Amino acid sequence: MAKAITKIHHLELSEEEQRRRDLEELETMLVEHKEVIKDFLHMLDKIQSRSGLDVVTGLFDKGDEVLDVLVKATDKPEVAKIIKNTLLMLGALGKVNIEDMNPFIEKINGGLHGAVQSENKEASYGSMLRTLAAPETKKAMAFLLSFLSGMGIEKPKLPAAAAEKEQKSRKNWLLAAGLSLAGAALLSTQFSKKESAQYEMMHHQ
Amino acid sequence: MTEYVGIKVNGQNMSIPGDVSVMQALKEQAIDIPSVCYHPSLGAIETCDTCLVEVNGEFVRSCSTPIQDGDEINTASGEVKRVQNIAMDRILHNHDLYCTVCDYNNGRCEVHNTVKQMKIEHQSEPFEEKPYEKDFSNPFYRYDPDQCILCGRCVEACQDLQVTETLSIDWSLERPRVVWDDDRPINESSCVSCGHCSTVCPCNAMMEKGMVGEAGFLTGIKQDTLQSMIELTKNAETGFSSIMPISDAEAAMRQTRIKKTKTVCTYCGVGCSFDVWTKDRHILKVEPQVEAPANGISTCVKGKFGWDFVNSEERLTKPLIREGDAFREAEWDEALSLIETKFKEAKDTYGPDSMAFITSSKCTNEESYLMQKLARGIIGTNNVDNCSRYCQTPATVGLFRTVGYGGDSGSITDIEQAGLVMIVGANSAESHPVLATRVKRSHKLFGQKLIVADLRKNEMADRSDLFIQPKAGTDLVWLSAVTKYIVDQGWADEEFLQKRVNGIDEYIASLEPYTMEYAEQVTGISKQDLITIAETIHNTKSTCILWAMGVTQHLGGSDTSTAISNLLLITGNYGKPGAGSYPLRGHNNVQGASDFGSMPDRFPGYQHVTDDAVRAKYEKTWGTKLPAEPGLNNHEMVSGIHAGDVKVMYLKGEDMGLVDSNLNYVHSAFEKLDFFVVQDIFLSKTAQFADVVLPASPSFEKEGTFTNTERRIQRLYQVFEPMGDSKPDWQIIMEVANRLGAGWEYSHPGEIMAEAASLMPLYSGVTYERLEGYNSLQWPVAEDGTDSPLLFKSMFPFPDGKARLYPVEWTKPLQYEEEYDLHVNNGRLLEHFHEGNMTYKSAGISSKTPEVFLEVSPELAAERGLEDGTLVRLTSPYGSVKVKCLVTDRVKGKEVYLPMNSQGEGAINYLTSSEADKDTDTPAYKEISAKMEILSGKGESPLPRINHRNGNPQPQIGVQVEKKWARPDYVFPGDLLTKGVSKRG
Repeated sequence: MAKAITKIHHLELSEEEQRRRDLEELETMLVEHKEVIKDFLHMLDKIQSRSGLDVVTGLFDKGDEVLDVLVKATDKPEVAKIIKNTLLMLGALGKVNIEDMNPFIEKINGGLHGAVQSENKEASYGSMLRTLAAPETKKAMAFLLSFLSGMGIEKPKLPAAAAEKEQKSRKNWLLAAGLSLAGAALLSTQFSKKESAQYEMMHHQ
Repeated sequence: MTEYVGIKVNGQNMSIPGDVSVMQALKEQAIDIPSVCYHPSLGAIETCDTCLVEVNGEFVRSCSTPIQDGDEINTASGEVKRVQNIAMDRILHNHDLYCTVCDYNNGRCEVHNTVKQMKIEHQSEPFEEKPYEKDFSNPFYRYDPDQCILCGRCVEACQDLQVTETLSIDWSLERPRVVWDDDRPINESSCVSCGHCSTVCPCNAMMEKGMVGEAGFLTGIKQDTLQSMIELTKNAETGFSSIMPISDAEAAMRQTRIKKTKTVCTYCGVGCSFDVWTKDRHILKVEPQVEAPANGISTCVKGKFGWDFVNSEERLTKPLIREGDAFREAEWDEALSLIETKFKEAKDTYGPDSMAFITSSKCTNEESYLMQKLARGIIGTNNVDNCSRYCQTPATVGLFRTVGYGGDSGSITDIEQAGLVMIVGANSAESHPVLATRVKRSHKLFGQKLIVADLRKNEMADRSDLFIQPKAGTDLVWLSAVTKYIVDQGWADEEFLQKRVNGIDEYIASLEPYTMEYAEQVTGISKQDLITIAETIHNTKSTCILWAMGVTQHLGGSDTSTAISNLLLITGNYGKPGAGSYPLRGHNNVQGASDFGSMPDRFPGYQHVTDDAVRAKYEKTWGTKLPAEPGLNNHEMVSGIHAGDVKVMYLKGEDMGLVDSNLNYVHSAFEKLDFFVVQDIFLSKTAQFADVVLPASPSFEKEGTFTNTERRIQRLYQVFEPMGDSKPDWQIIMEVANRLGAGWEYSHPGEIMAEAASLMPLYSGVTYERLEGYNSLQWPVAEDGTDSPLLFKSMFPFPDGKARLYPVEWTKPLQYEEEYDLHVNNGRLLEHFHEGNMTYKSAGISSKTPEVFLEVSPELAAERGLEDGTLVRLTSPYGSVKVKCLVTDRVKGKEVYLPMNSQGEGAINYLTSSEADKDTDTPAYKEISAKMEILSGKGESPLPRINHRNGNPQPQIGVQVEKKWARPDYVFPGDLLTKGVSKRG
C-alpha cells in the first residue's frame, strides 16, 4: 500500500564532500583556462603595484554612492556647458583641414619670430616703409588677403553623400565615447544590483 | 484577382497591385516613410500623422489612403518633410528621449528609429511631463503616461484584436492618456493581462515588468541618479544625432547578454509561438512575432506572463525514491537501477501486459513516440495511452467515423473568415483564449455570426447573436433536429452530398425521431431558436463548428461529436475555406500525443496495431516482435490495477491523480500498484503515490515539436539549461529503455522525428529543417514537404474518397437520486492551467486568482442563503468537495460551476464518477449531480476585488481618432503648412 506522501529527505552532501566537488570543479576550470588566468594574474600584479586594486575596491564597495556623487556633481549647468562645448569644439576640430594648416602655422611661427625680434629694435618710418616693400612682407600680406577673401566665400552645401560621410565620421567618434561611458557605468550597475532590486520591489508593488 | 494600377511616385511611373494602401504600395517599392503608429497586425490607426505624403497635390495619411489608378505621389518634397516633422515634433512633445538608459532600447523602438530615420536634430516643442503618475499596480506590466505618445496601438489591440475592451484614450483630457475601464488603476480593471498592449507599444510606455530595470546596462540605476543622468545628457547634447549612436551602441551591447529563443506555449492547444527574452535564468519578456503562424502577436496571460514555474524552487531536481513515509533524493544511477530491477521482475513474473504506460499531451511528439516505443518495442505491451482520453478522444472518433481524419478540418484562419461560428460546449474565451480572439474580432468588426450553445453564460455566450442553454447532455438532440429541419426544408447541399458523401438515405431515415417538438421537449430549447439556427446556417456562406469538453465528456460524447460532423456534411461545410469541424484541443500536444501512437490500439500515424502489414513495418524498423492485440486505455488501466492485472505503471507528465474522474477510486488504485514510476517537474498529486519520481525538464529546457489543434507541427528551442539534475523526458525514457537493453542512441529529438516520420504517412515530409524557426507544417505532410492547411478539398481519406454520414442515437445522461439536486458543471479558468500546479507558481496570477470558487446562481443564492464567501460542501455519490461560493449570473437555477483550479479539497474530481463515454471510455465529467450543505455562512469572497471579472469594460471600435481630430488644439499638419498655425495634437 503506497499512500500519498509529500515529505522529501534532501540529499545533503557532507561539508567535506561538497568541498571536494567544488575544488574539483575549480581545478578543471583552472586547467581549462590556464593561459587566460596567467595573463590575468600578471595584469592584476601590475595594477596592484600601483595601488590600483585599492581604488577599484573602494569604487565598487561604494558603487552607488560614488556614481550618485559623480552624476550629481556633473549635473550642473556649467558642467553641461563644458561637455557641450567640448562636443561642439571636437566637432569643429574635426572639420579643420590640418594639412592645409601646416604651412599656415609655419608662417605664423615665422611672423612671431619676427615680432619677438622687432621688440629689441628702434623702428624708423623709413625702415618701416622698407619693410613694407620687402618681398617677405608682400608675400605675407598677399597670404593674409587671400585668407580673408577665402573666409568671405559662402561655403557651398556639401552633396548629400559627402554630408552623410561627415555625419558618419562624427558618429564614429561618438560611438567610441558611448561605449566607454556605457562601460564605466556598467561597473557601477553591477554593484548596485542589490539596491536596484529593492527599488524594483518598491516600484512594483 | 488583383488588379494592377498605374501610379507615379516622385516623378517615376510604376505599376502596382491596386488593393493596397498608399503606405503599403510605397513600402513595396522600398520607399520608406515614417509610420510610428502603424503596426502590420493592427492596420491603420491614423493617430501619428508621420506617414503624411502628398497624393495628387493633397496631404494625406498614407496608411489609410487606398491607392488609385493614376495617383501622383510625392514623398520627397520639402513640404512633405515639413509636415512629417510637425507630426514627429508632436510625438516628441509627449516622449522624453533618454534612450541609453531606457529598457526599451533594443533596436525596435519606433520613436528612436523614426527620429534617426527622419534625421531630426532638435524638437521645436520641448518634452513636457503629463500630470499623471506611473501605474505599477498590475503585477505583469506598467504604464508610464510621460512616455506615452498616444499612438493608440494598445487600444486598438485591446479593443479590436484581443477584444477585451478595457483600454481607451481619453481624448477629452487636457493631456490625453490611456485609461483602463472607466479610469481605474490597471489592477482594478477588466484587464485580463493578455499582454497585447505591451507587445504592440512602440516605445517604453507600456512595458512588461520583467524588463523594467533589467534590460539595459544602465537601467538598473537608482531612480534619482538616473534622472540626473538624463538631465545631464539632455543639457549636454548637441543634437539627437549625437546621442543616438551612444544608445545604439548600448543596444548592440545588450545583444551579448539578452538571449531570444523561440518556443511554443504549453498552456492549451492553440499553439502560440513566441520569442522568450532571457538574461541568465531571468525571463525579461515573452515577445510574440507577427510571423507566428497560429497566434501572430497574440497571447493570453499564461503564455505571456505565466512562466515563473520554470524557475520555481519547488521543481524536482533529483530523482526521489520512496523510503517508508518519505521520499529520499537519490542519484540517477540508483533510481534507474531500481527501475531496471522492478521492470524486469514484473515483465518476467507477470508478463508484459502487467505493465502500463501513460504518456503526456504536454510533452513533445518525440517523447510520446519514445514512450510508446518503449511500451511496445521494449516491454512488449500495447498498454499505452495519454490524457486525451480524458478530453477529445470522442471527437476524434466522431471525425474518424464521418470524415476520416481526427483533427481540425481547417486552420484558425478558416475560423476567422467563417460566415457563422457555432460554439458548442466550449468556453473558448477562457480555454483557448487566443483562438477566441479571432472569433471576437470577426464578430465585432466583420459581421461574422456567432451562435453559442452552453449551460453557462460564458464570455462568448455574452457576445453571441444567439445563445441557447440546452439541458445538460442533450446536444445530440438539438443538433439532429436542426439537421433534420434543414433536410426537410430542402436546404441540404445536394450537390456536395451526391458527389462527396455516402450513406445519405440511411442517415436521413435515422433523423426521423428528431422532430422540432421532440427536441424542444428534451433540450428545453424553443422551436423558434432551433429554426433560427437552421436558417442562419442555411443563409451563411460557410459555417465552422467549434466544440470541446461540453460535448465530449458525456456518456454519448462520441455520438454527439458525430452528430456535429453529420450536420456539417449535410450542409456542405467541409473542404472549403471558412468551414469545417474544430474539436478544440485542450493541451499543447493533445493532437500530437495521439498522432504519435499514445493510444492502445494504434501505432504512430493512427495505424492499427492489428494490421499485420503495419506491424511488419514497425517490427522491421524497430528490430523486434510487436504485440498484435490492442492494450488497455487509461480507464481500463485503473480498473486493471484494481483487478490485480496491472502491477507496474510508468507515467510521465500527467497529474492523473487529480484530472482523472472518481479520484478516490483512482487513488486507491495507485496504492495497490507493485511499482509506480512518475516523471514530472513537480511532486504532483500523482507523484505522491510513486515509488520512484524522476525529475523532468519543462518545455523551456528542451527541444522538440508540438502539434496544435490545427494539426500544425512547430518546433520549440531550448531557452534554459535543465534545472539541477532534471532531464528532458526523451532522455529519461531513453535511459530507462537502455537499462532494459534497448540500445537507443538518439542524440537529438530531430533524429527521433526522422525515424517517426519514416513510419507515419501523415508525417512523411516532416523534417526539422522544414520546421526551422517560425516555419510550420500542417499534416498530412507529403514527402516533398507539401502540407495541408485545409483538409478534404478534393477527397476524404476513405477508399472511395467519399465522406460517410453516420447515424447516431441519443444516450440519456446519468440520472441521480433526487437528493442530488444540483448539476455540477466544471471546466477551466482563463488564468489557471488545469489544477494550477504551474500557474499558482506565478505570484501575479495567484494574487488575482488565489483559489478555486463555486459559481452559484443568484436564484440559488436567494433560496439557500448563499453569498460570496459562504463555505459549502458538495457531495455526490462518489465523494465530496469543500469550496467557497461566488454568486454570479453566469450560471442559472440549480446549475453550479466548479472550475478545476484546485489541488486540495476543492478538486472537482472528488465528485465525478467512473461512468464514461460508451465508445471511448472518456469519463462523463459533465454528468455530475450533488447536494449542498452550508459549512460556514459568511466569509471573504474567494475572488479578490482585483480580479478582472470585477472590472467594467468599455467597448468601442478602435482608438476613436476622430475625437482627437475634433480637439480644438488639433490642426492637421497639412493645413498648418498652408495656414501657418502653430498647434499641437
